[in-house]
This record gives sequence, C-alpha cells and structure tokens, in this order.
Amino acid sequence: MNTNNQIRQLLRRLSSFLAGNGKMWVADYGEAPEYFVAAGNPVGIVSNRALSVSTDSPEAAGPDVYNKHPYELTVSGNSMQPKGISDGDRITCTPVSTDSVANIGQGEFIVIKVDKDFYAARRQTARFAHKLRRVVCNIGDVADFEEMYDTVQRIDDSVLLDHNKSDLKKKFEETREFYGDSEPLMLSTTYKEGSLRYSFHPVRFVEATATKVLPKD
Amino acid sequence: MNCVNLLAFIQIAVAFDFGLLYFSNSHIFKNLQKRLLDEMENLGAKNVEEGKQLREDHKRTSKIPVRKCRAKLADTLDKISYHTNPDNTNWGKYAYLGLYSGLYGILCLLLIGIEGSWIQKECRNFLLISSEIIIAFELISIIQIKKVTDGEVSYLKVYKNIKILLTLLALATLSAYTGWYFHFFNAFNPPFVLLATVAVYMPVIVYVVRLWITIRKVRKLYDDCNRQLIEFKQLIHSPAPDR
Repeated sequence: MNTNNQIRQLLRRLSSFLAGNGKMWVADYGEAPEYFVAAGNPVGIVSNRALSVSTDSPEAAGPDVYNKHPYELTVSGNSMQPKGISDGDRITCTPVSTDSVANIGQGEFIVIKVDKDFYAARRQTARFAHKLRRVVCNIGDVADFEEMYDTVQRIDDSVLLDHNKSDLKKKFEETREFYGDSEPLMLSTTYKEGSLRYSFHPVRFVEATATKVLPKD
Repeated sequence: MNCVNLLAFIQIAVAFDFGLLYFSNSHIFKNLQKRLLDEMENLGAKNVEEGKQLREDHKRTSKIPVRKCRAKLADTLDKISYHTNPDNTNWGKYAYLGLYSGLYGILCLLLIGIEGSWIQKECRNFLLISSEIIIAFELISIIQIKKVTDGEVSYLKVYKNIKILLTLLALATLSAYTGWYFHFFNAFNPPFVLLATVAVYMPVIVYVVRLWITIRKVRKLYDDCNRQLIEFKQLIHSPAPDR
C-alpha cells in the first residue's frame, strides 16, 4: 500500500473515529474474515491486512469448503516463514475428507478448522476460523505419551531434543485431556519467532491440504 | 521555558519523521534496517548453506547422535532465517510510540506562550508530571508491541489508551494546579530536559535498542551454527555408536 493510500485510509479512520461510532477502533477484538488462515496462534491480534478488505468483496463469502472445490486463503502472520510461507501469501487449498487424511504425508501443509471451544476452555478467544500447520504424522488414537513418542521419534529428528520433547508432552497431555483418549489426532508443527512449536489436532478438523503458495502482492 | 521551544520543535520533527517510517517504504530507517539485515544474512550465508547441505546429505541416517545434531542445526537455521528476514523484524510498529511523543510535543507547543504569565509555575509542574505519564504510556506500549510477535500490529488498543491518557492528563492538570505532587528537584530545567528528551526520543531509543538486540541475537545464532557444524562434522567422521 503506497504512502498516499495509507494517509487517506488514516484520515478516513480518524474522521470515522471522531464523527462515527468508533466501531472501527475496536478492531483489536474483532475476528478475521473466513478467507484468512492463522500461521501461528489463532488467538493473536488480527492484523491490519486481515481487516482491510471490504466485506463486499467476493472473497468475503468464505472458502468453498463444503463444495469440495479448491479455494484460496490468505496467510496471516509470519509463524510459517521458516518454511517459506509469509504473512500475506495466498495458499491454494484442496479439501480433504476425514478418510483421506491418513494419506497426507509428512511435511505437507494442512488447513485446520479452529476449535473455539478448545481455546475457550483455556480462557482464550480464537480470532481465526482456520489455522495453517505442517504435518509430522497421524498418531491415531494412541493415548500413551511414550508410545506416541516412540512412533514420532522414528520419523522426526526434532523430538529428540529435550526441550522439544517437553513441549510435545505438554501439548499431547493438554489435547488428550480435552478431547479424550479415543480421539484420532494429527501431530503438526508451526513456529514462534523461528522456534518450533508442536500442536495436536483431531483428524476430523483437518479441512484441506495447502498445495500451492502465491506470494503476496 | 526557553528549552521548551527547542524541544517541542525537535519533538514535532522527530515524531512526524518517525511517523513517516510507518507509512513509507523508502524511509531512511527502513532502508537502514533492510541493509543491516542483508549484511547480517551475508555474514553467515556460507555457514548456513553448509548447514543445510550437511542436513540434506545425512537425512536418512539412523544414528541418534547425528540425528540430534541435525535437529539442533535445523533449530538454529530456522531461527536465523526468521531473524534475518526483513518482514519479521518490522520495527516500524514502534512508530506507534510517536503518537504519545507527538501528544507531548503538542502540549509543549501550546504551553510555550504561557511563559511569564501568572500560571507559569502550574504549567511547569504540568509539563513535568505529564512527561512522566507519557513515558509510562510509552513503556506500556513497548510491552504490548513486544507481545505481538506475529505479523502486523492492529491498532494496539490505541482508542482505549488515548481515553485513559487524556483522563490522566486531566488529573495531572488538577495536580499541578492544586499542588498535589512530590518534588524531587527544586529547579525546573534539569529534570524537564531529561524527562522531555526521553519522552520525545523514546521511539528512536527503542528502535536503536531493538537494532542492537537483533544484531546480538543473530551473531549468537551464527556462533551456535558454527559450533554445531563443527560438532556435526566430528560426529560423521568418527565411528560414533548408534546410541
């Protein structure tokens, strides 16, 4: 966005703030539109990019998840930057069924539906409907951490590091506590300031694989 | 109050110029930041490439010590990639501090004309009290900005902060008028110059400190990368056991 447009936008917001009902200024607490996906923690503050697109635009209709056609999402945040996906990049997503999730390979990017109840239970408000992660493996309904760790460490080197193993255990126990021991889970990763972070998600929340990245304009 | 003239003028210029940092992609600070990050990236580029190649060459190893080394190296390389990417070190978000600096500058400008009048003492006290409030707000904003690690910053609760700030400034006015304050110094100029300088130059101070922190962080990461490369090479060239 060039300087003139930014100044014009600022003046519009200022006049709206002074003369309007000030709604625009509570955007901190707003939710991201459906066509954005959080690269990192979906409870983060929604970026200006996510809030700057008009609700009249065709993108505002949301992703075409239910019709099983490929659709595009815009990435919000730089958490996946170590793996080449930056804030503002657009990803092409191919919907997957729960049965075909088992075929998703290690290292593929996936779009996961955000479970707001999970975050609410931790007294957090999720501001995104989807989040982007990179697959490690499908761990199924394994309930014992050591058994799960034994499986994962055969295919992923990062869990061999002590601090990563602790993070893995903590996330596993939190997820099992909420979803129960029989829920099939998928292990995936994201990053926080370049440091690896693990997350477990029920397989039923995996919506799509991200198969193509278009850099931001 | 003569120094108020100079400080207010400098402050307006600094806040205005720093505000442009947020809007302009060709601002000198942004160019400086980009150039610095490019140079830092080039500094360790050879080691980073070597690290990536080593990891790729030993992707299929089953030896645990080598795999652990691969993992440590991956961790370091990811952090280097993150911290040397200009998109991730958008210190322009600290330009929000210019909002409070600018407000203080406007207050100083408005009060310049009061010099010599019957409320000169109250104005001086108000300037001192309000500078402390502004500095407190700037420090709180720095903490809020630091918490937002991902992507851009959205408004930073500016609306609510401004309302609280204006309320506190109103209380500061009351305090200055009624004499409900605590004196550390008898003179006006020395504490005012110090406090006003900090309030005015806080965006620049923070920007420079962030720059310094990033340089130190990246240098440490390059040292870690170097050390891990040596360890990796020693491991692959020695007949290490599998466990």
